[in-house]
Amino acid sequence: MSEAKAGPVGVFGAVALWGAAGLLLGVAVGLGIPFRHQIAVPAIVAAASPPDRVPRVVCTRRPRSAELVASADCDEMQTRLDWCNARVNAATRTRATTAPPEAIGIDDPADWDRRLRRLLAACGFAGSVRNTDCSEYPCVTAVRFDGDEAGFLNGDDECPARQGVTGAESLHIVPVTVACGDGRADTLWMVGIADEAVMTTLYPRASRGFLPAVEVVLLGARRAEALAAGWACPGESATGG
Amino acid sequence: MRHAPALFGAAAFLAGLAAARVLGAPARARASVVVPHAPADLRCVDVADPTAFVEDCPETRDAAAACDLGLAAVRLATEGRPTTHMPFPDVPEGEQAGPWTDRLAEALIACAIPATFEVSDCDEYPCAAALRVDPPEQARLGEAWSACPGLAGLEVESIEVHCPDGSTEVAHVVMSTADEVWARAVQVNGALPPNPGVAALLGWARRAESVTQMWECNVHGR
Repeated sequence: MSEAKAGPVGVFGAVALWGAAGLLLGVAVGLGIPFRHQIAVPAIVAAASPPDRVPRVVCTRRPRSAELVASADCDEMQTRLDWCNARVNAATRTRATTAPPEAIGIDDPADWDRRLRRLLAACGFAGSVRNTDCSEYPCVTAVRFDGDEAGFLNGDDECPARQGVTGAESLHIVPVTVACGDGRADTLWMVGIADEAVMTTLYPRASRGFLPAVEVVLLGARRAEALAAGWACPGESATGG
Repeated sequence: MRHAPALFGAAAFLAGLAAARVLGAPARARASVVVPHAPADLRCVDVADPTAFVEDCPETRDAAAACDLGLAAVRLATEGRPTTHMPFPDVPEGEQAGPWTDRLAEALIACAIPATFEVSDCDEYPCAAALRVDPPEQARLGEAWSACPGLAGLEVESIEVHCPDGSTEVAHVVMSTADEVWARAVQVNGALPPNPGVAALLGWARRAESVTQMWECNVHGR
């Protein structure tokens, strides 16, 4: 995770490391030079009307042996039960904070909240702090920037005081698109500060191949989902926090 | 272009995915390797219609019914809340659950891909599938995959699954990497979000986690 210090944005660093130029390094470089590359995502020409009913389908796994299942239909039902249980677990699980003892203080939710507000104030940005999730390391907070995030992202050039808040740790900011209840899109910015030594402890193989990097990407997606659940779209009241 | 750096970062990640697969492509396989085949009897269940089940496994049926109630309650509680889950869009037939799964299963068999089709998940778009690959066969998976025309546009990536007994297994997760697929996947109400690359990256992770949640551990130990 050591290279994660190089940049201000990322899906918790290891994405950038593993991808050779990933989010953190990409932003660090991309902010400093004329931008030449982007993902080729074709424009949606017309807003497609959602179909009346889109079947949500889960497909079966193969019956493994006569001893394991009474019939193919039972195996099919078992798959469906597995699917249902997986969805319930995903929606209701709580995850223990896995930060090791040396991370205490870094990961304290109250301390994190104060630190983030100090960071925003130090940089003079009007981003509003919304809900925080400390169910896993590091704490992350959803922030609404209302258009002034570019300066925040530009880092030390725009905000020299930022270094005094983050210190040797890495600041990570990820834009997360959510679908609001009324169908509109909204963007929350997931902000976290991660101690690289802690991340290395939690993901010790982060620099030794593909699998741990994927774990960190999965971590980023989980955290984004947790923040989205408590996010307040324009005109709404937040329920999480 | 304010968010172009983030897009670049995401692009680098996706490029890394592809590069890892290419770099991991093994030497040409020996002809004597026994190739497990994907199932030919794969079928899909419409989640909205749980009644089409037989009566000879009542405990599983009852458990599924109870779970349905719990899931309905969870969804009711979160209905209308902001979410990163996007509704399944209107997609071409080949991207719909049944045809997508059939295509994958058929291609695995036709190309003798050394993998067993464990489960697919079309709860969100795009569909994702999880394959089991015996460790001795993992080295030749990349080359066999690349050489299979029926798998064009599909990428397979390894994800470590943590099993209840503390052990870990590797699930090989299959998803499309086509730009048009992810443009559909990340759109909200018919429009692309301001950061489609990052949205695609997080969406990929969300789909991967979804399908691996149904991974069955210790299959060979039973």
